[in-house]
Amino acid sequence: MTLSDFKEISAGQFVSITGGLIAGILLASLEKDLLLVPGLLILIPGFLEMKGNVNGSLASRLSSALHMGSIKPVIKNTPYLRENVLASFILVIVVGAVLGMVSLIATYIYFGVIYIKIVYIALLTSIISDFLSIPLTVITSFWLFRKGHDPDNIMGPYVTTTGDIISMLAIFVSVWVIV
Amino acid sequence: MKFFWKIMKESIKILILASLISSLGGIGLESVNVKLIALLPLLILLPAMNDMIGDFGAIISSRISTMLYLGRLKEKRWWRDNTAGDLFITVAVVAVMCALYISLLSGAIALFKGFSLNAVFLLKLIIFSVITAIVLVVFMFWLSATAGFYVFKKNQDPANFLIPLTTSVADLGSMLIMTSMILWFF
Repeated sequence: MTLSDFKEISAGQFVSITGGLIAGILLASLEKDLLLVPGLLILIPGFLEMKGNVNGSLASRLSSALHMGSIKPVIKNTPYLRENVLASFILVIVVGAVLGMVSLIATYIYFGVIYIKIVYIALLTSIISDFLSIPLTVITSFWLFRKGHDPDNIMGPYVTTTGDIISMLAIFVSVWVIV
Repeated sequence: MKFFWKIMKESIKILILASLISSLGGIGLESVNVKLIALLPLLILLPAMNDMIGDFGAIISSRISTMLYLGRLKEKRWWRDNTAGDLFITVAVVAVMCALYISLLSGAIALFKGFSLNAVFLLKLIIFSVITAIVLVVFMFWLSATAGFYVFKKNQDPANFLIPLTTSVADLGSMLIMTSMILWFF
């Protein structure tokens, strides 16, 4: 662990949590929807978590492959890259659907309310956020490696921040379209 | 399609489990939603706090995954390893700095949005953020190393398993601490 690691981690973190605060401001602007849409507060943490996980794991796999020299840091239609992207895309939609169902069931069990639209909101949010966040993750990982940085130090904070902002915007759009 | 199926097989269960764990925290928040929405600095702090804790989970897990692949971390007394020790100190210092930063900034944003913020509230916010950050960093470190060795020995990719596990546990932890704080201290 070197001073450059400290700089990379702290710089990445400060940018990341500033992005998190932007997501917080977006969340505060959803104030009325949080009360009007039952289950939204159950869906949001799980969804943000899942986006961070899928993109974080994607970045970590790419980073390990880059460090070991198994892939080169250029966008090419190789089986490794193609299948990683496809798997990440499908994972978000499948887990998004599960989260929507969980929010629906939990809202019924804990608050006695059935609100089926929460499942549609989860699915639409998954699709919108997928199209934006996965390409960003791949491009940034390769770019950082080419510039001599360790993607392990930067991509974790980066994907969770961009994922949070993109997800909050996607939730905002989905609520606006569906509700 | 061997990479695709490997990723799907190794990731799907842990992702669903991780999201369910986070949703449990969400149920806690939903139960105090009226109070939470009224406490604007906490509402603004929430994604940043989850983000920060999740980031540390991702950094710790990702570094431990790479250390395991490169053979730099030995299972026996791993906590005495210099590389692991340095990583812990670095993450802990950055965590405290970040906790101070988000609590002050979320207070300032809330004040700007018309929330009547006082010194006691701000102090509670700072104490809550710093304690949450330290407790969860220690826990995530232990969890990442322990689970990392287990998964690596089973010949699976720790990157697919550790990040979802640590970040969801951290998310749940931070939301439970936040729900408790809303109920007891705010």
